[in-house]
Amino acid sequence: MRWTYVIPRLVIVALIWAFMAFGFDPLLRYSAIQSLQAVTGAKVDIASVRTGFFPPRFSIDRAAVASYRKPGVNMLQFDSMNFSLAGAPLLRKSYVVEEAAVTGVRFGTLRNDDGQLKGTLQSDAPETPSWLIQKLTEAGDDWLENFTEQAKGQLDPDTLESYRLGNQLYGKWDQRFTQMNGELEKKKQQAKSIRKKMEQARKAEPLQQVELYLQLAQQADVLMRETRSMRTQVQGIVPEVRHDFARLDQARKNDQQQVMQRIQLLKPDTRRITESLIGDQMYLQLHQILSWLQTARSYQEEFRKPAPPERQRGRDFEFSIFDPTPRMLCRKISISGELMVGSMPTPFEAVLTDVTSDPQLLGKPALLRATTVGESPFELIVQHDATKKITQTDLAAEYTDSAEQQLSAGTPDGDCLTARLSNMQWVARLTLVENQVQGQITVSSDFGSPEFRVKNELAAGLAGVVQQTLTGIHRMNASIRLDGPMLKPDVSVTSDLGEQVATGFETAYEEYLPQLQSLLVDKVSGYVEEQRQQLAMTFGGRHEQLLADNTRVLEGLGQIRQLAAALRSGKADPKAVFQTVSESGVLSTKDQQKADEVIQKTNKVLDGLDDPARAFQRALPGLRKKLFR
Amino acid sequence: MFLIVRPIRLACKAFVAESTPGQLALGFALGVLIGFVPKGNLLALVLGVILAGSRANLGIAAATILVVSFISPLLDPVSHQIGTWLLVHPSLNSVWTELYNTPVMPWTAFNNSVVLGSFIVGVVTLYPAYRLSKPVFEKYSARLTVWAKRFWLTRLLMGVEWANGMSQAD
Repeated sequence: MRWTYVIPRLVIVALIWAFMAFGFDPLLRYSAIQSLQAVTGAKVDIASVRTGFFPPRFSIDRAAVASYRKPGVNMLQFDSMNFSLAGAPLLRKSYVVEEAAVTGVRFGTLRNDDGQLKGTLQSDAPETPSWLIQKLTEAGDDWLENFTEQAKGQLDPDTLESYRLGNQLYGKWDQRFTQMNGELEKKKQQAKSIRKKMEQARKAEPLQQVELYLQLAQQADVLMRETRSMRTQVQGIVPEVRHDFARLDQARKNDQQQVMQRIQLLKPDTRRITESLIGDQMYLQLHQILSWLQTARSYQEEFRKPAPPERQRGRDFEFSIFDPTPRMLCRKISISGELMVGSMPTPFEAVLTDVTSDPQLLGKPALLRATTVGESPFELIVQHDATKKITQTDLAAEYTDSAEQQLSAGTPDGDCLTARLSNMQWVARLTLVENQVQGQITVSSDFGSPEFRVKNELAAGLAGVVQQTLTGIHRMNASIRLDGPMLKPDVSVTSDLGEQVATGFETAYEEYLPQLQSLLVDKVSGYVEEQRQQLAMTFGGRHEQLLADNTRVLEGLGQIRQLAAALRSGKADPKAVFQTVSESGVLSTKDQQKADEVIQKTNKVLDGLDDPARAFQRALPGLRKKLFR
Repeated sequence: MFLIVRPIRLACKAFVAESTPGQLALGFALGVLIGFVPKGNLLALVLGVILAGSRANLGIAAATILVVSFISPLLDPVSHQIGTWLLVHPSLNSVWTELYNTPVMPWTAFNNSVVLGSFIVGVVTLYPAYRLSKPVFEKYSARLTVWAKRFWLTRLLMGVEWANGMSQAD
């Protein structure tokens, strides 16, 4: 036996066997980890890889692929993956898997580390798309706030024409009377001035006195004419006041007529109601679906393009293949595991067929069917057709959520409308062509337990009627349509819920209308009466006072005028002049007393002129004193 | 101890000793061929099997493969030119197509320009390498054996041989 020939060959065979037995699988595991990490950009953990050659088979145990975007979380994890390669295509360097099985699949599980590769730049957390931010911002509760504000506004006196007119009239007459009082005050001052001049005239010589009195009489005459004119104006106020009261009454009637029209305008916008109540949920659901599509698309593109070799030696020439087969083809993959459906782990099963690196060669689209069982059944069908030049992905999903969802609009400490949805049935139909997405998501649900609370006590009655009306709604249907680029589609939500709620509000208004109308009518009448009383009370007294003051001034001026007339005619008795002056009332009490004293003395002098001797005797003591001082 | 050493000694003898100059030269020539061809394909593996199945000296072949593998990238431009010319030649297209559709053949990577070109270069240099190296081995193989015995490992192995021979004589 030529051992020197046999032994080395045996050693080589042994080395090859040892490599295949102990080194090949670890090497394959290392290659798989490196390849997947290059594709996903995050850590990949594979417990072990097992291979077999007869028949060719490949198994991966306990693998976890970390999420690039979410540190500490696995994007995908499975317990085992087994697949067999078809022998004939393998001889032609084509990897064709007739059937593969992946078990224990879970998504979003936690890791012990962050799962990020060292030295890789971590991208920022995916930003919320702008269309979603815009839609969530628009879905406000202002329709509810507007409703209560409008209802409250109906009871606001400023909305009543009669109230506004009443305030206006009050202001007008206040200004008028103030003006008239001012003018009368001026007249009073002028009369006072005339009186003062008359006092001064009293000290003058008798003849001068008369002249002065005549002048003052002229002035008084003018003043009297002006004062009479003013009196006429004051008396002329009454018809105008009557006219204004008539206007006020008409305004009250107008307000009552407009009550009905205003209430009809209170019906809220159906679109705003829909967006407010269910818009958030639907937009978020849509965003979730689009995120899945986008992620799948990005990985599909990564897998499609070949990894460039680090050092390519030479160039590969391709020749015609008689029986062409895609380089990589998986005819059927059975997947089983758990999905988190509504935060509940739910077993699922899926079948993925015709996944290939060359769909155009295969001529069949890839198809994924996934189903769950349990209280919330879920069915998903995704068809990815890359057999043509333009890639098209169709997604159809049906999902029933048995958990109750609460709807709410408004704020807990303000006006708030809440209700419950149960047994929600979601149906999604989306089509993705290149980067354009088009489709519709519909939801149908049971509606119940509506509650409507308002902060304003005046609107509480109406809220009660509204709530009672909403209990008649039992079913809700909504749909969200989208069309446009996947990153920024045009999204619109429609639902019969908005119309039903709005109709409920309108029905409540109509039922509550008589009460509301009566309330408003009473309010209107009350305001009008209040305005009338205020006007009558305030200005009636001032009118009377004004007339009285005016009359007094006129009387005083009248006496002066009479005196002037007498003096002109020469028939004035000086005694009467002074008497008239003192009795004219233009003098104050004190002055009146002095005037009376003067009159007495004058009378004495005048009597003395008739009997000088007697007068001299009476005045003698005084004269003696003056002469012999 | 002798039971462990003996197989190792025999292996060493088989690799580096007790080979004719012709076997050494054949090993060298095949080493050049395999060294030129890029590794990681079925062609290199088949050539290795052929080497192992022949009576060529494996030690010399392994050493030659190692050295030539480091040098061969420098010849890639030439190999690429040769391979491309052959692969695009119209008269050979049917041949290549047949080969491409033959099972197992795609694994040889013959459709790669450098692989094919290097293989052709290696085949061309096979006989000249044998013919030129044989006189060298004839002249220096004896000296090589003497030189090898200078090392303690060789003496150790041969010392064991003497111990065995003496024990058997007794």
